[in-house]
Amino acid sequence: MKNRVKNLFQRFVLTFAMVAALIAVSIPTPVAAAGSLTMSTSYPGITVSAGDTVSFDLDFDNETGSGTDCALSVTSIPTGWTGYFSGSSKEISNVYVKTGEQDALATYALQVPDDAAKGSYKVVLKAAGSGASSSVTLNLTVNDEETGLSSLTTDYAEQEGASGTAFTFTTTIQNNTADAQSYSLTSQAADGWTVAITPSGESTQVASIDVDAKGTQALTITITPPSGVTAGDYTIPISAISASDKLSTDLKVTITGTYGMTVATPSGTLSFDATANKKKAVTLDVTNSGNIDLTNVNLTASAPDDWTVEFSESTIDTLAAGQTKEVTMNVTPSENSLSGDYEVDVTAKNDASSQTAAFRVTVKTATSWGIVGVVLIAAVIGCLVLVFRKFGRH
Amino acid sequence: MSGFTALYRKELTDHFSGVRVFLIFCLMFIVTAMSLNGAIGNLSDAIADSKEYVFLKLFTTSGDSIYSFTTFLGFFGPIIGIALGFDAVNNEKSQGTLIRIASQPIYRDAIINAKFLAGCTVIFVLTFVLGGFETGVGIIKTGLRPGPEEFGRIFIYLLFSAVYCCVWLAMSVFFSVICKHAATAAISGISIWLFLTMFMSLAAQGIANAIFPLTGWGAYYNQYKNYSLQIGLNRISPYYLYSEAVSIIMDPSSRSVGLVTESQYSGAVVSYLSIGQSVLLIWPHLVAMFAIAVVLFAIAYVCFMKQEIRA
Repeated sequence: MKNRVKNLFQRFVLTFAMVAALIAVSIPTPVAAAGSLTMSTSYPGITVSAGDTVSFDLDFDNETGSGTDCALSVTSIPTGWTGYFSGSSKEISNVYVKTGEQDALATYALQVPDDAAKGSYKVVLKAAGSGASSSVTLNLTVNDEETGLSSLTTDYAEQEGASGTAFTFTTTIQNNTADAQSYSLTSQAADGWTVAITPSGESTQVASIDVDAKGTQALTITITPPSGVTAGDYTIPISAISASDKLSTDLKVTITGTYGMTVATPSGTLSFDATANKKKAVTLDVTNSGNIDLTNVNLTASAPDDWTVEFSESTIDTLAAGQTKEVTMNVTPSENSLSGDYEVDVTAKNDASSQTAAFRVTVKTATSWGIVGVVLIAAVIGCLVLVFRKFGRH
Repeated sequence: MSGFTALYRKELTDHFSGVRVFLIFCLMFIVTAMSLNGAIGNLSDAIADSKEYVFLKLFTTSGDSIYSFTTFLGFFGPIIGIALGFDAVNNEKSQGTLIRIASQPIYRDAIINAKFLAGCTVIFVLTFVLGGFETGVGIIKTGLRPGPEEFGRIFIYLLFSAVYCCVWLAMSVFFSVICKHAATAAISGISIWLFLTMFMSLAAQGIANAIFPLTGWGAYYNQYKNYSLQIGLNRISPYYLYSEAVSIIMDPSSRSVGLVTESQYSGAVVSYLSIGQSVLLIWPHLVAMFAIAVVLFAIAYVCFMKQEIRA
């Protein structure tokens, strides 16, 4: 009996030991155990546009127990797509992964081609270390953003200024097509207006310009209105036409009204000679140099005392913008005026505008008294001759 | 013109070989040099206002303690004229040479004509030599270059100065005809010169004030008339005429002789007259000066022709 019990006990212990041993064998430390390497990225599925460049940060988890040198490769990529691995700002082909987790150890930059069609694409990356490897699959969805929506845009497309101002616009051509385009630039301006188109920062006027695919080109457009332009709003359409694009924008210019007048002589000289107490005719040009018609322009003169200044037309009823009116001024210096220069100011004035021209009048002595003097000398000599005749020659 | 040329040559020879003309030349050269020196010293002040016609300023600028060239010529010009003519006729008479000349087969008026014209020649030579001397030394010492207009003005000025001297020559020839003694003729000439040069302005002022008093109730209204009369009386004096004319011809910026009213100046712009305009302004002066010389000589001529010539 005693033996049976002993045997039973032995069998129990043995069984227990076996079970314990089995348990010990069947519940080892985590099953992944022997050398697992994981490469992952936080957002493996993203939506992109054609032509985009996207980058993925690659995280590594090395559980093999020792650091390993992994070769990085792309196992699957759609045709036309390109990409490369980088780390520490350099292109790389291998990465050394220490034990443990390491985030963003390497980066994969992916260039989506310009002509990528809408749809889903897969890119598979692989990291192969010694005895362990891992893959990550990137799911890319190319959205339906259309190519070819190029544009012509202008900052401050509406400008205002007085006549005589040159207006400068900055216009940008955006080529959204997948190809470089050559745009021919045209403008439709009224007669007398000049439109100069230059690439920004340059001085050469261009009639056409090349813009890279997906590129932009800034243009400086200078619009000069004609000198006699009347006040008002003007629209200057600008168009850029290429083989596949027809772009246009409207530039708006508002010319504000200016009043202006000039008083001068046809030759431009503001001086003339005159003789004391003798009428002298001088032709004046009164010009409306503004862009608004002038009415009731009065001509007045400020002359030295006792001088008379008359105008053939002392009031001009209407002087259209840009028009010139010829007026004759009759100046009669005073009888007592001295020889030499005097100032006569002629003013053209209406409610809105006024302009003065200062004339320098050189008064000359009439030579008639000089002749009297000559006659007097002749008379004196004549008398002397008479005296000679009467008393001489004894 | 029988005998005139011979007499004229002889008179010129007498003048240029005599001590009198030599002394006059020496005196005038010294005076010119001194006045030019004074003018150069004060030139920078004189041209402070206007930088044009600087060369003319050499003639009109006075030194610190010396008169200008134009002032000197105005003063000494009459002395030259009187010195050249005061003994023209009476000296010949008192030495008894006149009757000898008169007895030659020549026209009698050739004597006085030759004497007067020889004197005129000396005056013209002297004036232009002095003017040329002043201009030449002025160019060398200052480095200024006179323009054509300045040359023209200087030429007219010298011409006018010579005629002015000739007036006094004609007057002193007249006195030499009517005065028996040379000393009397000289004193008469000098006293008239002194009166017209120094005291005429005082006399004119006195007369004008007597006719148009500047005191009392009418003073304000009389001012213009008083001044006009004063100028009119002053202009009897060749010295005053000469000074007025010189101030116009040598200063292109002066625009009027005599009185200028406020209204004449309204609107006037500072400017220079052209030489033609300046000459026109003083044309009456030139004519009057020439006429005075001719008339004075005519009187002397008539007096001489009416005199009897005896031993």
